[in-house]
Amino acid sequence: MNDETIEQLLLADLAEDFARRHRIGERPLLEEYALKYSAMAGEIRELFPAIALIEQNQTTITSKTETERPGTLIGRYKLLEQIGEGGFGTVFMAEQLEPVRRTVALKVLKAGMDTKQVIARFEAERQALAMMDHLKIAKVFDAGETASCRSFFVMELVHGIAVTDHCDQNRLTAPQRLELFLQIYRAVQHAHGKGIIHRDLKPSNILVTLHDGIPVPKVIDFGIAKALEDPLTERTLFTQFAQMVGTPLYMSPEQAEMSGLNLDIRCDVYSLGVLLYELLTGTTPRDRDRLKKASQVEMRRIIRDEEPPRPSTRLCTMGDKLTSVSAARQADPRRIGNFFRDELDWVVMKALDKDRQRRYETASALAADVERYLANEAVQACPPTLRYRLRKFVRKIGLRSSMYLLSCSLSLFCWRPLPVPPGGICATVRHDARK
Amino acid sequence: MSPPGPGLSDATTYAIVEQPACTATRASEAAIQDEIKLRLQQALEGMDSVDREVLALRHFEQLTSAETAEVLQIEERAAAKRYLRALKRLKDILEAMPGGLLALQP
Repeated sequence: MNDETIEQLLLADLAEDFARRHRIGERPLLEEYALKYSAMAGEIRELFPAIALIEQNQTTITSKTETERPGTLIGRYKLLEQIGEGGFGTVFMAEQLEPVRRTVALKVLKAGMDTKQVIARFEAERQALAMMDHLKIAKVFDAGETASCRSFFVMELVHGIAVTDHCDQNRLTAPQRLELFLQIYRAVQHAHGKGIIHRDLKPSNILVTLHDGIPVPKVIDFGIAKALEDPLTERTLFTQFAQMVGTPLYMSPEQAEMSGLNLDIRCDVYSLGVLLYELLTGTTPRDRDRLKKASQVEMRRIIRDEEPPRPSTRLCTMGDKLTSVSAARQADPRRIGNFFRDELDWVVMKALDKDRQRRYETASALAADVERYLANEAVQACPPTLRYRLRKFVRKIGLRSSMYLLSCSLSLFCWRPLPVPPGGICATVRHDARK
Repeated sequence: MSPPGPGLSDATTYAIVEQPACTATRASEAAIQDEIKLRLQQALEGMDSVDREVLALRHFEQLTSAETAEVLQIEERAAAKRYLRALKRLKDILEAMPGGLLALQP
């Protein structure tokens, strides 16, 4: 390695340090670096201001929207109060002033995404979104641009809590959770039938609200992820960055890869698999803390290459947490694992298959298996062996009646007069021995 | 100490980016920030995709030198070289913009 190369490597490292200090809120002075590394002072003074500029604007991209706050008027909507904050932006409760007065949810996206493009993509999807009419899907009414050049979406306001919180607070048993999951699936299936993929299904986008006293899950943000996503060819730096701001926990490998592979409904199937996993075990397939700490490359590698543990394995290895997870499901910690073993494990793992070719092809196929499981029928998630089918059969009709059936068929078999082959029984035995 | 190199002077950059929130009204500060960001975005979009990619990896995806090299599937020294070259080009573009960054000073 020559001197120039060594100098460039060192300079790149210094630049990294300078950028990193900006990210953690420090205001490092470039003179500090120029004095310490006087041989490279010229390059430092030349290049570091540009780094400061990029990092400074990085801060404004990731910091929350400050210009929109309660009281602000955005077109015909008046912001009332902030009700949430997510990776993509801030959600407000807002009052629509005309043509009808109503309360809506208004989501202001973070700066840094190409507003014109986001709105153009939303407009392209608008007709399809309008075709969606389902009690369990929150409607998206409108989209536009705020005074500070950020895009916003107006949606039906849903008063509810995340589906996972609802389940835990009400201590729903595993079968009750599966029933709830089936309701969610129906909403997703409705959208898929209209050609709309959600792309960002996760508990915080599935709220449970009381409808005449009955809990009803409602999927929010349909059509929004699509508007935020650039096709590969026109993807800019900022959207690429912003895209990864969303939680990778529920993201299918093909989404995490950002390989430009066309996404289809199977990415929603994957996310539903993660949801199912979480409803059953109280944890996501990937470790939340680990993904949070991992770098982008490492994170993609984990999602792409690592096989998550089966739900039953996860339950067996969670240690102390098992007590609270079981309590929230009204289950015995010693037996909760048995509920999932085999079939439910297979169903969840098939939905989570990294290769989408081997995943359930549709949400319906996944739901059908969950329904089969609940009805004690054989699931399709794995090629069933004869032993497995027999066991399911026994469980379905009960041990006593299956014993009865078995003895009937056995006796029928025994009573049938056996044809004696030419050469007598001994010949048959010899024939068999030769095989 | 030698004087700062020509073009984008340190003093100017810091005057802009270190504008204390208490002295500027929020609205004007936001407007300046938006303007800077717009300029930066324009500068980045006008760049060659190879340069843009390495800057994105280093600053927006916040990858380290080693990770950048891994993603680009090149050696670390080549990645460092590419990064510094892109940074230099970005600086040149920002300088060449009408009024440079000086125009943005309140």
